[in-house]
Amino acid sequence: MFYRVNMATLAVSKDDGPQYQGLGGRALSSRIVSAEVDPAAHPLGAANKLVFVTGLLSGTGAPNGGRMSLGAKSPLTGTIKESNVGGPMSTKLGRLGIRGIIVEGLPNKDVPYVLKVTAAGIAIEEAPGLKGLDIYDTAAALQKQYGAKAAVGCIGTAGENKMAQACVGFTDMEGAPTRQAGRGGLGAVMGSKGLKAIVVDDARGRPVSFADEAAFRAGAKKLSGALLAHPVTSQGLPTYGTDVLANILSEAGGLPTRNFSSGRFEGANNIGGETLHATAMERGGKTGHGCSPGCIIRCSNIYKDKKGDVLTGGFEYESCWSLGADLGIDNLDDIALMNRLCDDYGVDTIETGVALGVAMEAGVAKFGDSKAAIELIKEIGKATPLGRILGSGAEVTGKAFGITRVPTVKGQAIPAYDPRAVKGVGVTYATTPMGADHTAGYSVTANILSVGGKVDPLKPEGQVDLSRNLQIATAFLDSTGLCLFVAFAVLDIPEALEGIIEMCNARFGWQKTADDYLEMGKQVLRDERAFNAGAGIGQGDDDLPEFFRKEQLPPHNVVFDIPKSELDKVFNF
Amino acid sequence: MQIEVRLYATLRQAAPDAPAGVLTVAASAGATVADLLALVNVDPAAVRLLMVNGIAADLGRVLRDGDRLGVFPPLGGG
Repeated sequence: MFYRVNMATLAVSKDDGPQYQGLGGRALSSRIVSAEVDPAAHPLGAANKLVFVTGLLSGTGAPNGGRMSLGAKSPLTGTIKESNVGGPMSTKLGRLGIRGIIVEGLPNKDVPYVLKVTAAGIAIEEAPGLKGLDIYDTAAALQKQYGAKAAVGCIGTAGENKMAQACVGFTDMEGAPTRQAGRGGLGAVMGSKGLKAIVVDDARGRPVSFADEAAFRAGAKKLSGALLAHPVTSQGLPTYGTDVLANILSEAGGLPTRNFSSGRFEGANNIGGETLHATAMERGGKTGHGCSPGCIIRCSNIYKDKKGDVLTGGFEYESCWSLGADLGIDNLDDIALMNRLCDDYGVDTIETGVALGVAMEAGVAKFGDSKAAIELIKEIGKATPLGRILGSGAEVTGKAFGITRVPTVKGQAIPAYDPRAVKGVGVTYATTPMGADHTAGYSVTANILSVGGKVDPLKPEGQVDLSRNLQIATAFLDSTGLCLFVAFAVLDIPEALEGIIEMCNARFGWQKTADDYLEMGKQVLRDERAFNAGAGIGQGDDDLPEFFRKEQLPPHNVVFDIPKSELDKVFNF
Repeated sequence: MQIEVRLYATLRQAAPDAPAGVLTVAASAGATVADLLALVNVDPAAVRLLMVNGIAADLGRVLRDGDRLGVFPPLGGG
């Protein structure tokens, strides 16, 4: 079932979406946006649409099947955008039989609206009391009104202020809004539509039906077995979380430090997963926290302050890096506070950290000054002119301050792997239709982690093929509703992919092969690239900023040296 | 010769008193990565990633005075 919500007329309609059958997750969100949104549309205008879609396996109880995709034309990049999020909402939508909610038009009235999604359908409700609230207060108010079990997705003041890097925050299994559809400014699109929140209550929802339930269970068992067997998904991630990467990348010389001026941070251990784990244990926090129903990996966490009060959750490597090493900061408590502020105002931690790094390069504050960094983030919350610059992302910040070392691709900040020392992920940054995005083709696996083979991270050879194959496979995995971290098992244990294919086939009565599903991944990339071309963003934009090719990165003193002509071979299918 | 050994994640249990898992280890000339792991009581079967001066290495790599050896179990994130 697909719902259309028109914010101009406040009308809700539903249909079976025959044109969108056979699609889920990113394949579905990108198809809807590419089919229904004029690529020339202003991202904050009436012609843009914001879509919330479930994956092929949402609501089935598939292992790690709790992801949801949001899609729109991005105000940050001007490209098509899929932003992927955990939490229980996609499972609840799946149990309500909802494949997609398409939010259209702009409202005529300046009042926050809430979409209330239940087994009875979707109601649009006015919520004047939520105006100006940040995400934690908004979620608490909505849980008070609609019940603690309802899943909430909402924007904070950054989204209301239509800042180009605003995110959408979602509640986790305990009801805390620690999960974000972080990248690409979809919170600003939500704000432009006057939509403060979406609330999903799946009471009286029904179990998802299967074409062949026994075959589905057998496939699910294969995937869960692989996730429990692979040491990364069964030991490393549950114990330390994603932040275990801080020390690995610093050791490998690929941890971007002080606005991408070095690849090794002397304070890496203070901000890394080992310290985060020890601190969480000491203070009664938690690691091994699952963010969504059916999560086996449990890489999330709850982080408490020195007094033992919960400070933040879902405290990830990317955030510990962007608000830490990239700013020369190694005080984990201050970084946790920054993470909390970003989650509360509703901005992307990657984009915010990189914007702050660019601002520090400009002398707005000193590298290493965590107190100054906290105050800069508070400017975003206050929507001061400086806060609005930072809230517009790293590229705008670079322009505002006349800085040349601005690590962005297609307007989106580069994440926590320096592309000079991890060249495979550099290819992904340069070429993915999303703008710089490590998750779109996570070559760090073979470059650094010895997962899915080995490709020397410092040499140009093999990186284009590595990135291409991962981008295709990822576009498929992002369409299933599975967490991308199942890829660690998929890359090393054949039964994992077999199980995923068997689950998808058994859910819908398909006979598709691995090649068929990879073709789905290729088609996602074709859809997205066609949209971007229509928006004026083409192959010429598939490259890294100049400084990566000219400035050597210590300690290995390397530059990004994959020729542009090679990058142009990524999409040769 | 002196080698700086850096143990990470669960491997720090082999040297619980070493601050941040960092030890300076005296080894004889010609020692390999495997020799160093034996000196610090780390089981090679528990190791997935080895880096010498930040560059991937294997157990047979011969070390030089002043090398920095990073030792990791299987890990990932994103």
